[in-house]
Amino acid sequence: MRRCRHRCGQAQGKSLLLAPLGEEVVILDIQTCGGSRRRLMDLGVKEGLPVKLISTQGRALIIEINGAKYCISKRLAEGILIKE
Amino acid sequence: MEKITVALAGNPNVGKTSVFNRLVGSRQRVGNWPGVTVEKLSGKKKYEGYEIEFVDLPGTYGLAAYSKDEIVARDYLINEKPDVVVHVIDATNLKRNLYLTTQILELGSKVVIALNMSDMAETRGDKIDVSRLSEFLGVPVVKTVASEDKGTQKLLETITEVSKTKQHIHEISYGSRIERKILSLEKVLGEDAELSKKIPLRWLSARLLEGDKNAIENVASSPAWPEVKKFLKGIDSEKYEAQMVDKRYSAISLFLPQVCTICAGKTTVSDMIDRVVTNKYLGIPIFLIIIWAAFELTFTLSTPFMEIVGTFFSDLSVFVLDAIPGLFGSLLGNGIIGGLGFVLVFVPPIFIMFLMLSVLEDSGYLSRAAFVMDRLMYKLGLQGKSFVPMLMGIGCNVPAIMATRTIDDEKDRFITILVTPFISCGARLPVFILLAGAFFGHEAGTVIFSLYVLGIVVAILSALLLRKFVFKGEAAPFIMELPIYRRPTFKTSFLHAWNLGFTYIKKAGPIIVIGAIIIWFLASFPEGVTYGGADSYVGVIGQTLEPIFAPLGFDWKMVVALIFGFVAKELVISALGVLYSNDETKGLSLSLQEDAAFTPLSSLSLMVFTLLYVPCIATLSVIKKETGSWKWMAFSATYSIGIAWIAAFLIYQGGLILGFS
Repeated sequence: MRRCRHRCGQAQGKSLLLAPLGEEVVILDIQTCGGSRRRLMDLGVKEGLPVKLISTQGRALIIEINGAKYCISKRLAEGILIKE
Repeated sequence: MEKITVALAGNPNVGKTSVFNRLVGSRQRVGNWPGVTVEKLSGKKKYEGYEIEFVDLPGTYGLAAYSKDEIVARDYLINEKPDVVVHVIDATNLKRNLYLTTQILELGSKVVIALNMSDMAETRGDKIDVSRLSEFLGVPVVKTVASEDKGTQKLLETITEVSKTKQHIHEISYGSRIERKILSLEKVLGEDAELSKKIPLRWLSARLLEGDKNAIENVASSPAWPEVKKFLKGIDSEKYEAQMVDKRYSAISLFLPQVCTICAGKTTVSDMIDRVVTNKYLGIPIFLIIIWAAFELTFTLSTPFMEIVGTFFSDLSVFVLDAIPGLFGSLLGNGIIGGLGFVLVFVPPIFIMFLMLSVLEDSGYLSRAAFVMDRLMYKLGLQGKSFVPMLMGIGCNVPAIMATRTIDDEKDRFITILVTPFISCGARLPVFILLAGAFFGHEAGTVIFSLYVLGIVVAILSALLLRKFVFKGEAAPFIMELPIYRRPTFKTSFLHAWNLGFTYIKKAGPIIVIGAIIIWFLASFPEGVTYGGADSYVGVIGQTLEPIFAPLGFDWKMVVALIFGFVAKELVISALGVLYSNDETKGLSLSLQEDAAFTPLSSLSLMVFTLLYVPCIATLSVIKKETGSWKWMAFSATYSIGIAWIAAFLIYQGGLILGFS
């Protein structure tokens, strides 16, 4: 899992990849770095926000945040931790 | 007359270009997927004593831009300082859209909010209090439905009113700790008087704390830079960035419940469609069926129209040849009218294919196709996002290559640019329709569909090679918004297809006429030779190169047609027409069937070569522009010729071994 320098070792949740399909879960932490992290933040992806996993396909998945759907790569999703 | 400049900014796929079209009265391309506009467009409008220049910017989610198209938008807003910024907002997703608003307001721009797609929000049951929203933001808000031209007049009035007002900066409080840092940085930056004239220092200070590369570039040449550098040393920019983003969203979350009741949450039609079309097992079969059906329909629906156009040009050509004897009659009848006729007969299928593509685009399915294809794309070293420009290449490779600007990662972008020309464009379709129609009868639609699939397969295999040997590394992670499904209106899709079709005729027309004259000249001279015969100039050129192409099943006439196809693929048809159609009343298709050199196998080999070899000159020049390198342009040309030769060789020789003819 890619992690931010200063957040290494602080993970307490499970990856968004493991979220049940169609159920709302809450984001615990974002552990991706650099541009990807910024992109997620610009879209409003942040701690405490509810997110829904809609569909998965190969290396990508569809999530719903704030009523909008996004297709994101699993590499990004594995850096989004959700509450256990 | 007072001149004002108005920029249209906003998130991707919120309808900026639709608003622009309504304001200016233009017909710029719109579509239901993020990234339709990749460079800024401008148009003028005279209104109530004002000459307003509208600039439509590519979409961006924030001012910390990453992809090429986002950088265009960000740089324009910061460096060009338009008099008014119309921030187009998707009313169905206020929270995310208002995030950009907070950033634009921090820049100190005079802002008007165009609350677009407000009809969709209302249909969903959302209640938005426009006056309260305006009160909270401190800027006017106008409801618009650009697709139905609602709110345009009010928007124009508001723009001119706002242009007369004073500029004001809307500040977000980032909390005492960050505010102290911002103030200190502002003081340091204030030492450079030039800089403070160019960019609001508070905005610049906040960006520097966030570690924004562009902000650092702006300050790097300033005399204040050494001091700024010292100040930023030891600052954890990611932490500041996260806190500032959080503050912006918190500010939005505070007032949003007071201005809007969101009723989203129940299952929508979009959700239900997505459950089927993005299903793990059904997604790819559904995608293939949709594309196959589009080609079958294209071929079936266009046949009667093609016959009408074909008969018209054939009769006209015979009439001119009878009426005007001699060399001039031959130039007009055989060269210009014949050459034009051979190509224009394919306008109906091209138009119908563009219509199908428009319907797919306008419905919002295109982004889902990228998701569905991601597994395959990833295995071949590309991200799913690369699939959208590749699919756009079915219309024309030129805008498709430009559409790669939405891809953040430079390596992914270059690979996509270099493999997109393998996707069969509209100009190659006439060659397929002619040859598949002549030699494969009822199976023509399936043959054409297979050629398109072959183009995609070669593109992704080439991507794999490029990733493995040239642009080493993993495909970058990506994020792409999936638009809400919209029912495509006949008018929008028809206009879209019409624009594409018209552009095709406009682009192809002069090339075909000039090409047809050159082909006619080379086919008619030296004096006394049989028109298009072996002794004519075209005959000599073709026969010289014939040995290279003989293993592919091509005779010298086919070689000549392919040489002209280098300029534009439409000329392959013109050249075939000149070289094979000896009897104007018979039609080119029949003439080819009667020629001994043409068999189903050699025609398939010719179609495969046409599909894969050098894209037209326009595509090569856009590759040069987008990669900024002659090297990649030359690579694209030589690589595609090599691949085309190998593929056609395998098909022809393999077919012969298997007993086909």
